[in-house]
Amino acid sequence: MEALRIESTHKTPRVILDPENGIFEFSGRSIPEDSVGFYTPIFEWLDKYAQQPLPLTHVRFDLEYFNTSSSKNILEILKRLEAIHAAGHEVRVTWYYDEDDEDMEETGQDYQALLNLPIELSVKVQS
Amino acid sequence: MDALQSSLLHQSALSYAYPLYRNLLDNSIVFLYHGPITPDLVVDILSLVENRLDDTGEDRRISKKLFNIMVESFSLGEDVERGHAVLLVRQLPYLYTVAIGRRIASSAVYQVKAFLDWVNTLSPEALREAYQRQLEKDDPRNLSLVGGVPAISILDLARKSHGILNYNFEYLNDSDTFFSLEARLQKTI
Amino acid sequence: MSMTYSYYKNMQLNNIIFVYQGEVTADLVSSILQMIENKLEGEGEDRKVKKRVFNVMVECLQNVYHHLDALPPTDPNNPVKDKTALLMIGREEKDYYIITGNHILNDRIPELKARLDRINRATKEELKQLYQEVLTGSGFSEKGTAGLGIIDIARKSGQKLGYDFHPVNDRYSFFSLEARVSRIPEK
Repeated sequence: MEALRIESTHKTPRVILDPENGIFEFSGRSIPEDSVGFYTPIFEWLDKYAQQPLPLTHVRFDLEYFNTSSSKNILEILKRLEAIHAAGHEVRVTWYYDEDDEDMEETGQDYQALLNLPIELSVKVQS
Repeated sequence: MDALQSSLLHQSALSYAYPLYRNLLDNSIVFLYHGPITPDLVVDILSLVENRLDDTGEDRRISKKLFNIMVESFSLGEDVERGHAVLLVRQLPYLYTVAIGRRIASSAVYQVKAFLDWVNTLSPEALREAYQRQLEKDDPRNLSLVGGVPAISILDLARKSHGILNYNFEYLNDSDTFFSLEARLQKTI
Repeated sequence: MSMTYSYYKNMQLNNIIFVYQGEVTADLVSSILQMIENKLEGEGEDRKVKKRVFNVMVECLQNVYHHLDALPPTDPNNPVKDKTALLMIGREEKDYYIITGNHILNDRIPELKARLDRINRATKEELKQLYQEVLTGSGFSEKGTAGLGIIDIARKSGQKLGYDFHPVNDRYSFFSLEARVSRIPEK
């Protein structure tokens, strides 16, 4: 299975889905005009990965900001990861947020509340 | 006749410049945008406001919050069919206000008003639950709308502004009503 | 009536498609230009018209910049703390208009007014000549290329410039400049 790599733009996040090492990353902003169009290939990729996942997958969310239509798509991603996790293949999600960004922290808590998936909230180290 | 009319118009736009400028200053408006809202514009406007907040040395936590409120306010203004929206940011001594104004169908006013009134009665915990429920329920292809306005955006704005959403409806004609929604952000947290 | 609505109404009445009020910095200027370019692009405006609106806008913004730079850095009489300006873009049936507004020192008004009147009286040919004169240093009295901006705006606009001076206090006035660009593409 091939890795999925999408470079970031000023409206969409960087996405790296690496099936060899089981490392997934979403970073940047997400306010695409067509959020479904942007996220659909990611859903499709994850559905394929779910058929033969690694025993452990690390997922890193490091988002600067996003709108609610993206937050819905992120929930869809997390639900797919939840299913993989429930099937006995461990998934560890780290949700990074800027120390100053209480809203982003709160969004992470929302996802924790909505899912049966280990989501660790982590303050981003300031560079 | 044509020449006269166009020279009158000419006069009026130019003579509007100073009163508008004065008015914006007097009302502590730090940003006013009027026009169609597209995702490209959103990005530009946000970077514009970000620069400005950096320049004024606003606390980063507050800047972030204001920024997030603006991002969501734009979602409310995005609507190709009903034309231009207004976005207005005021910087008052103790708070920021972000107001978004757009047209909605006159027939939807009652529904939007009822929804806002309901949201305004919710405690922070209830609001959080309502937001999470809506997030679960929504189809990403088709966010549920309340009178043409995404319900999730209103819930999100209510949460982010930690308080009451002010709103206003101005009847334009049988088909359209101008709807404005204001989120407030206290500068002290 | 809500404040948001009253602006909306006023802007609709004046056919305004964009307003910015605030401090003018290089970053802001490029952001605004990009935004307007996207906007005209999205609305399918004629390519040549779009380009001309854009060019006039660039000159207008630079002109504002120049005026703001000429203000004394700290002056208790200055009605605003920082270098703020107003930018307004409107679209009418036949024209786009670009209006900039900024504070200037009152003692600069006579010279500026004389210059604007001279530019507005000039024919296309005369403008070209004037432009070259200023460029080579024999035109307007002012040093450097400062006088060029407004001539350039007039040339690119192809129409008379509108202007207004609004007294603010003993030392300052608000200067608004309007440049129009025809929406009818040149043949």
